[in-house]
Amino acid sequence: MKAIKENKYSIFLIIGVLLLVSILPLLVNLPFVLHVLISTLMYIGFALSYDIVTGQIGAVSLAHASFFGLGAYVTALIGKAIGAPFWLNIIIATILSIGLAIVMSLPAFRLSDLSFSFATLGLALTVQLVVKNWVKITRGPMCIHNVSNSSLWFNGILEISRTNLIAYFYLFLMVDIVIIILYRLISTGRLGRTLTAVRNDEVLASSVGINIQRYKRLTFFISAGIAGAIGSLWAPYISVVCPDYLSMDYTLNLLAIVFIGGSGSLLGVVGGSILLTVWPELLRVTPAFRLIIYGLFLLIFVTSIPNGVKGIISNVNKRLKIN
Amino acid sequence: MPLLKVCGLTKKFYGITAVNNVSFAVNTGEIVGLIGPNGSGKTTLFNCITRMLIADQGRVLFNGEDISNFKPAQIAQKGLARSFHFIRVFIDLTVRENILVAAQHHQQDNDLEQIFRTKNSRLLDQEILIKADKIINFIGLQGLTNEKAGNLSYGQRKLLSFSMAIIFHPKLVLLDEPAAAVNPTMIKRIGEYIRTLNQQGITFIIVEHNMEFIMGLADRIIALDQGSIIADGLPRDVQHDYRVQEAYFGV
Repeated sequence: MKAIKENKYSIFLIIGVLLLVSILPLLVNLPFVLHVLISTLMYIGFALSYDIVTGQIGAVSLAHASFFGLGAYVTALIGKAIGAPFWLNIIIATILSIGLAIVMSLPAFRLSDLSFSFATLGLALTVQLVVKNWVKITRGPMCIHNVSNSSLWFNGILEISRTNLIAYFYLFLMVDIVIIILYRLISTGRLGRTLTAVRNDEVLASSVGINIQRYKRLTFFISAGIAGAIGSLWAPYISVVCPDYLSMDYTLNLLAIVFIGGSGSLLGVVGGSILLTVWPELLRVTPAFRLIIYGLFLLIFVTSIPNGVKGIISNVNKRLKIN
Repeated sequence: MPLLKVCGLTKKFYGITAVNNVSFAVNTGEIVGLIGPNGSGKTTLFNCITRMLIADQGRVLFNGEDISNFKPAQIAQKGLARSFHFIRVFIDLTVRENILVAAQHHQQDNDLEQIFRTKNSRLLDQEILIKADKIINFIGLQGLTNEKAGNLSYGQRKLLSFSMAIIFHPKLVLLDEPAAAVNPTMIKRIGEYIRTLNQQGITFIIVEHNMEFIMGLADRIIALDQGSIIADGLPRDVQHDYRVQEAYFGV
């Protein structure tokens, strides 16, 4: 088995595993377990959207939570005002997130590398401050509670309410499969090659006629759009939307997932999402030591396995190849 | 009309004038050798022509068009290719993928077609794949087609970067030391290949220290010293020019 084959079949592997997981809620119908599963699924999609810009083209954006938060706020506000169906919420949230990404890209993509990251950090903090202080509309730090339940229906056929966790679980599962396929289509083939080329060497890429700016923007917009859509689904599930949604905490989680899992790799990012969502939840058995153990775990993982989950997988592949 | 016309190009790095008021023209079909001691401004001149560096003064006309304000990617798309002195390849891509990337801006389909693999897009991919494999065979890397370019040796990277520069049928190719660190048989093959491509109408400007190689290949030699042109003419005339002898051969 070559490393290339790992990429070729990883999508089937992951979708297969997800389908297996889909039986789980029927077996264990505990709210806590379902909540962990739903969070994990949310993070898989969220982290994959982040990796399109960070892992594929190598532009480490620190503003990803802004799009997620914007999607959540848009959905909550629409729910309060008119109560649109969920697909309409998703579309509006996606479009507005891309709009925000376009505005952010104007100054941010004049810079590169570390300066780009810092510019996105500044922009993300600005957006969060606006949301926190625009009390008239966002209610600021008081948060928007009871995000409309009715906003999650689908032509009246399938009604998804907050109490029906299983329905949410399947909704996120479907969304994840769509995102995984999209991620795969973007990260392979000619577009995938172009993105890797830009990540590897911008000077060489431009010398063979690749418009670097164009591809950076393209991935930034796509990833922002997906993050907005996920935020839009997350808001009615969690039912409270606060300015925290736009904070660095979410972005830091994503950074940890992508770099511990293995940036630029489908299996790595999915593995990282599962690891970093399930593990802290399992640690809830010892509330006092939870964060200490979690921190130690991250430290040990990063120092002993520098290539992340992706590295473990390719090592296993190498062993298989030898034997 | 010359294919490339450089008028009064000047580039200063702080106190040092790396390229000093350089003017020359290259006609379609020529192979021009660019020689000069280390630090004479050859690579800087290439960088200014392709806008990897922004010149302080002067203009560059390519095919009659002023490209002085173009972006490097636009210049490549106009048909001006180059290779690099410090060899650059895309380390995470395989040998074949490197060549495919270098050739792809010729493919006229949009991003959506690429993402959703439309029939048109797949056909274009097939076409270019055949071309890429042909050139891989030529440079003798067929055993390494699916190897990551990051695992190649220096010489192999050099061959790869040479093929990346010529794959998209440019009008003009700037080669920065194509023969350095390549074995003699391969140098001969590269020379022959450059000549074949030249007969097909591709113009070359080649920086090279291997005198035997460049004198045998070039129709014309331009010699640089301390950023200025000191000789421009037929290979044997330039070789015998006393200023070139002084600056370059140390006689």
